[in-house]
Amino acid sequence: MCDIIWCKKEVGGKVCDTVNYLDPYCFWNWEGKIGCAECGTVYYIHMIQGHMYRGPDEKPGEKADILPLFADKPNDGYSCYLPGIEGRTRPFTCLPREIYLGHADTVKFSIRGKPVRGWRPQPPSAGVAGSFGFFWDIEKLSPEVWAEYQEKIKKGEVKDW
Amino acid sequence: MAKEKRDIEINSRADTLPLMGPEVRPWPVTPPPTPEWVMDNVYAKRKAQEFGKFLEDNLRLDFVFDKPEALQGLRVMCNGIWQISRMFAASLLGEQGAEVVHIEPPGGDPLRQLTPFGREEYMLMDNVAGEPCGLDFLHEFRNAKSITLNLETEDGRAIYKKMATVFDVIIEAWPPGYMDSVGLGYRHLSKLNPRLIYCWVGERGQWGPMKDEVSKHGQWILDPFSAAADSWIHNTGFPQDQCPRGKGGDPMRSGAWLPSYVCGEQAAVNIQAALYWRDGVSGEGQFIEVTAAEALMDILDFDIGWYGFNRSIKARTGAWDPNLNQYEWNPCKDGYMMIGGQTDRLWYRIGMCIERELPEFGRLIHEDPLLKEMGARNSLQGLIKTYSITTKWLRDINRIEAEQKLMEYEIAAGPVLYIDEVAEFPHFKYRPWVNTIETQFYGTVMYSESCAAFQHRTPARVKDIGRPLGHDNGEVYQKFLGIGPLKLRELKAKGVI
Amino acid sequence: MDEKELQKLKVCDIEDLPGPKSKEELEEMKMPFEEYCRKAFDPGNEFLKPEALKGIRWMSTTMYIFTPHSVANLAELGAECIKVEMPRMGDPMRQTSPFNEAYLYPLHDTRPMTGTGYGFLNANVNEYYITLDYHVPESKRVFYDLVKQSDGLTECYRHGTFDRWKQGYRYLMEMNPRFIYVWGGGFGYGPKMFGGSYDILGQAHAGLASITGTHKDMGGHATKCTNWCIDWYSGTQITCAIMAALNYRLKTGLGTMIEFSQVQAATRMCGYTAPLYGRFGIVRQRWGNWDTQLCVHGIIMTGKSDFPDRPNPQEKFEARYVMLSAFQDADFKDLCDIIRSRTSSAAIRPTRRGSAGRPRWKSIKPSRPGPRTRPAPKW
Repeated sequence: MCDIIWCKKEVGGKVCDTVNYLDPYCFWNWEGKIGCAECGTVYYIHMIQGHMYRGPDEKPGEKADILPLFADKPNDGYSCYLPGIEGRTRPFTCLPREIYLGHADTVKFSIRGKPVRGWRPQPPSAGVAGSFGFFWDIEKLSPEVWAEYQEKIKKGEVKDW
Repeated sequence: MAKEKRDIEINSRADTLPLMGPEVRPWPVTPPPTPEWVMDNVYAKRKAQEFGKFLEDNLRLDFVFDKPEALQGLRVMCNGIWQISRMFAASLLGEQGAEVVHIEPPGGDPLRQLTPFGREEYMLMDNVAGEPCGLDFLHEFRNAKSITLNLETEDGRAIYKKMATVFDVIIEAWPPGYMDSVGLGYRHLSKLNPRLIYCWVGERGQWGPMKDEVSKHGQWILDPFSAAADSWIHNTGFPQDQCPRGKGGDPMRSGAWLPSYVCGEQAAVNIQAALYWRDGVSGEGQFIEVTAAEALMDILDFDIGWYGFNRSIKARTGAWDPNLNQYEWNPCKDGYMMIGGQTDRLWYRIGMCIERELPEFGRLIHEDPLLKEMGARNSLQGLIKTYSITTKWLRDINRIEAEQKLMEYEIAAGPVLYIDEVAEFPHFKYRPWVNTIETQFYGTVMYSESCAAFQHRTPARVKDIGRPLGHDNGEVYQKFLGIGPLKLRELKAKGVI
Repeated sequence: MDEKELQKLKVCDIEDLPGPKSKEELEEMKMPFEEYCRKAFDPGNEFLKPEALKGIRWMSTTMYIFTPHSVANLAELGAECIKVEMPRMGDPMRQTSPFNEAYLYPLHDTRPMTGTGYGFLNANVNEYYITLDYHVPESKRVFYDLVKQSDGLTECYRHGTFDRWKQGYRYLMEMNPRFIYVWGGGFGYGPKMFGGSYDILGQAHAGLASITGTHKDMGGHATKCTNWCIDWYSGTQITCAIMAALNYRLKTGLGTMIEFSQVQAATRMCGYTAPLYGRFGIVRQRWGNWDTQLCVHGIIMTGKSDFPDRPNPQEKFEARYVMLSAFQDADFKDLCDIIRSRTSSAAIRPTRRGSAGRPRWKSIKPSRPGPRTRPAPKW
């Protein structure tokens, strides 16, 4: 096994069965101890040019140097640990903003407070492959967004930078 | 190629110099494929012989000199020092047939002196005066003439003014306001020549709060100041997750002078658009300003919009792309291998290729429901997962093996090549893209071919590269201003040229 | 003669003629340069000015960034551009968003829960969007009619595909000899004609990646230049070639076919890389944030971030790099003085060794005799 550590450790009578992904640039030449995201088992690995030179060897009782960025359980409904879950995965240090949701983000308002067409659901009149061109009648199509927008204007949250 | 053995003693780098060069080590080392081979093995395989023949007959580089030039008759004056962007803009026009004259101060452009790590032995000496010339300057000095002119003298300014009346285009790269302060800015010259197209190029602009400046000792700001000013450098490079900070995990400038090249091409586009408007519509010239910083901002993907969307600031992602999966290069046995394919069709083709040898890829990647949708695959975790397993496949094979395997599935994949490999890549030397030219002054020079050279009617072309400083003073001043050799000698004595 | 007749005789307006016509215009010559620039470029009032390419109509049968950008450049200069996409599928860039995060414009049935990805933004500005499926026989007529009314087309399909569909240059040039046909792709005719291409492939294949990033001896890897730079950059180069062709057509009335390879464009920007290899056999390496030809001229990390309290990690942790440039002697000396005044150690001196690599402006003695074939001309 290499480039992933598929942890088969039995913990509490259950097989851990978690795939810890060793991302290629960080681990291409790397030596140290890595902890499993699910059960915390520590493995020693020595990787040279992407090949496991030694390991993964279990090191019970020792502390991990590093955690994987991402781990999932393909045999258990693909439940996963996204990057940056404390004690499980290490954070990805170059994120575009502090709240990284890890899933598609569709927002109603831009950071200037102006409505953007990112929310859902779309009205049925949008149809298949529908596009409202350059004119987007928020008031008619999404009355609740329009109402929210009016509130924002009143509160002075809409600005031009 | 070496046919006989020689005993060579190498005590210093100087001893190695005669062992290199086009005479000793000609290019290409192995001949490119023949057109017949390409016809039978490439075009025929897709039943495109007829179309292939049409392209070969009409676009081949061998025929460029049988065809007209698009910008024939256009006169371009390129005035300045330091900025390679001005030279690239002039090259693009010159390759299309414009008559380009570079004006340098009598001391020459300091770019002529730049050479990697200050190594003079890697400069080329001209065969007239034996003056060394740096390779970056040489490479960008295409199809042009070199004259000298001292704009600090009254006579020099008078000459420049006269020149401006007979040229169509001036590309200028002096610090902001310098030419204007000596009475040679657009507002002065346009009165003499209303058809004049005047383009200033620089890093951040010639006006406004962050305009280009020189230090108190007169040092210019140069590439990559522009890329530093607009987040370009900020989001190039590896995150410290993949490389520790200080060991490659930092924001990174481009190895090439990318901002200058982007600036130069924008300048060339805008000059030609102004030309089109002048000749086709209005008869008037105009004032253009192109800065590298703004040219880069124009091509900053969606970064500005993304910030407006939800305050995201694009971060560096190394050799991965946050927008597409797969679309990256990852390490392989002998270097890095680039693989790309985003749509479902291509994504599964890549997968099939890898899965054939690494069934685990199918189990972990193809079967994952979260990776089945094109957009969803671009998530950070999607990238980590996919590229970990892809590299597991790559670590056992060389670049060329990976390329051949992926080519079977018609995947856009390519190795990260070094220049020696680029120069020997069959396709590149077949066309050729990296080419050699026997220059008038500097011997045989290898250069990157003009990108617009493959055209049916008006291909761009490279006729000569490099020029000793002021070599064309005699010809140019005679041709445009009627200044004969005697008068020229007088001007030279006065320090005007 | 009445006023009406007088007006009829006029062929132009005095305002249109060159030369100062008022006291104000005389003043213009005396204005400070910055003020003049602000007046000349007049930011914010672009729409009051004419468009250079007004009247040009261009078809964009393109996808992704590279070829669309070549058309968007024309559109920004005033051309009327028509983007043709596949019905129901659209440009794949519509489904491309950073980390699958930001979506605008809910669009179609294959992605009902999200919308147009941010990747699409910016590459196709000022255009009309239409859909047309070339596989349907009825579309041919529509396509040809568009060609007859247009000045040119940029396409990015695999080489020979349009030709097979009878809508390549060979067919279109006979329908519209003024037509400028652009194929943009990775490689063009030759052994790798059918190889696909992307921005990143250009960076890799052309040698740009081999000179960008930190050397492996310093712990680094070949780095991708950000923002699909080769797509955008070579797209603009196409525009440059188109502009030359348009100017040629202005004189002759003839169109052309441009075959443009983006991989080649990436090699083109590598500067001294090719000549250095060709003459001396030296393979240029990556040198991180050093400029190989100027010293000091590079990006360095500072001890602190400018915005340690901001929540966004990019501001909090990354706003700590500066571009430092002091490559001329006087500037280099100043830099050393600054460093010395901040550190107790006087170890840093602006010695010749310290400024190694910086060019010498004045007298350069060739380290070996140059091929002096004829004496320097003396005027």
